[in-house]
Amino acid sequence: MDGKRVAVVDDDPIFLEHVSTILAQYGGMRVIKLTNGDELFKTLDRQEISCIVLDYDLGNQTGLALGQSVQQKYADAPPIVMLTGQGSERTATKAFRIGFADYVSKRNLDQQELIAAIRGAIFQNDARQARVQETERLRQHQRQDSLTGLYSASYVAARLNEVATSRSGTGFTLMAIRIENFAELRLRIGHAASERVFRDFAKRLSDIKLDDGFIGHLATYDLVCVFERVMAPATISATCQRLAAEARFSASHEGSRVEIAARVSAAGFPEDGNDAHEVIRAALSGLDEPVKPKIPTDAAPAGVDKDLAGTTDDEMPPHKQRAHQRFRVLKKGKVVINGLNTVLDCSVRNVSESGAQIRVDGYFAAPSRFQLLIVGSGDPRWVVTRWQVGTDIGVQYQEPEL
Amino acid sequence: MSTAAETFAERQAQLRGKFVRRTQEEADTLLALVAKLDTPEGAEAQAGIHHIVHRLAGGAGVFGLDELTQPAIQVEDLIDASAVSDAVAQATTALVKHIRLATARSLAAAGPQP
Repeated sequence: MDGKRVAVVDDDPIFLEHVSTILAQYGGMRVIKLTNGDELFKTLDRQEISCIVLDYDLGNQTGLALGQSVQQKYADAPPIVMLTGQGSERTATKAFRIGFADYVSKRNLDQQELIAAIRGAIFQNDARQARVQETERLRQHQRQDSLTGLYSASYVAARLNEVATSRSGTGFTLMAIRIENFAELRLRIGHAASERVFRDFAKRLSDIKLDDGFIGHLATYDLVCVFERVMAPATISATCQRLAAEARFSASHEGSRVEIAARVSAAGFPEDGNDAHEVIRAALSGLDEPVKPKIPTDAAPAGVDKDLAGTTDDEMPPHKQRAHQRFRVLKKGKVVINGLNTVLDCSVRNVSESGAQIRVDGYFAAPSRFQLLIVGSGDPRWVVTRWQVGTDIGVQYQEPEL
Repeated sequence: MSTAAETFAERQAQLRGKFVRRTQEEADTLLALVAKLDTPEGAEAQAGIHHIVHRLAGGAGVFGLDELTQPAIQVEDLIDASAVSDAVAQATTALVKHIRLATARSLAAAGPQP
């Protein structure tokens, strides 16, 4: 019982001293001697007490009333052992009903009985606290999400943190996945039906065979695909395409069909954030971006692919839509013009195998050809400008000149 | 050099002595309270008697005055049962006689006080 502090409350100083001496001598306890309720509350506010021993008759109040006040004030009140000369069954019953841990008669006090009662109360309380903590820990780190059956958001966050802080870890890549226009869909088909759609959506994603990645829950209606390694942009793009393609399905609702499509946004550690939280936020912010505006045909600058002008991906015929599908990948980049004479920072937002969409910090007229460096993805690559709307520029990779 | 056990025994003996002397003093207090039972201060006197006998019932056995436990419980039970003041007075007076005998014997056995 070393280190266990026991507060003994008795208004009889002689008996208080007697009990305290016994508990210290034979129980190995650190005893705090108190004579009334005020002293007890001050003590409980100041230090951790493992058990309270309360005399029944405290002069101006009963131990029962004081114990009840303690239990009402403190959510994690220490266990209470009642000590009294009043050996009535009724008092004992009241004490147990209130939730006291034990009851020991003061008359012909049995030292061992009192020590055993205190030890038992502390043991049971510790066990109860451990169960509460374990339940909370399990709840926090529950691996599986009850709605989707996928890895839970807390597990995903914990896992990403682990990888981000691991000395040997090389990083991770995550792809945030959301049902396109899910908020509108909920309004249209209602909460229950949209929950079903979300579960089906999650099921389709969980059925995808990923060699070394896993699917989990990221936020309320956002899922995530996690790879515990840094991936090349082309691989990210291909994986995003695959996830979007396999998650696309038609759901039926009250006799009509609802087309479900996925929006995917990728981010990686350490390129897009200093920790897991920042990377998750980067990926989610990609999901929140508005859909790219249409490019007016007559406003398209020279050299812009006319097939792209005046359309969005969603409006293209399926075969073209597939060919031009873009995925949001937030990476830092640099626009290199005339060797290293002009270098501008940019963010690389959408990447495909053939090109990318970049956004520069301030407007400038993009040259028809320049070098694009995607930070963490090797050497700069030559690209040609395909379109520009404000600070958004679409570029196509150019084969290296031999 | 005294061991922890010896220190503990000495401390317990000191506490026993304190308890006995206090009980001896309380005998006079009890008689004073009995005298007030049939006065307007009767209820207060009865509460005073109850407080003393309750403490005595709890501590007598612990501090070597075992023979006082039952008489003290008897008074306590009478008050708890709202018995007439005559019965309380009679039982309390009897308890006082027991107290005087028991405390005298205990103090004599313990020897002269420092």
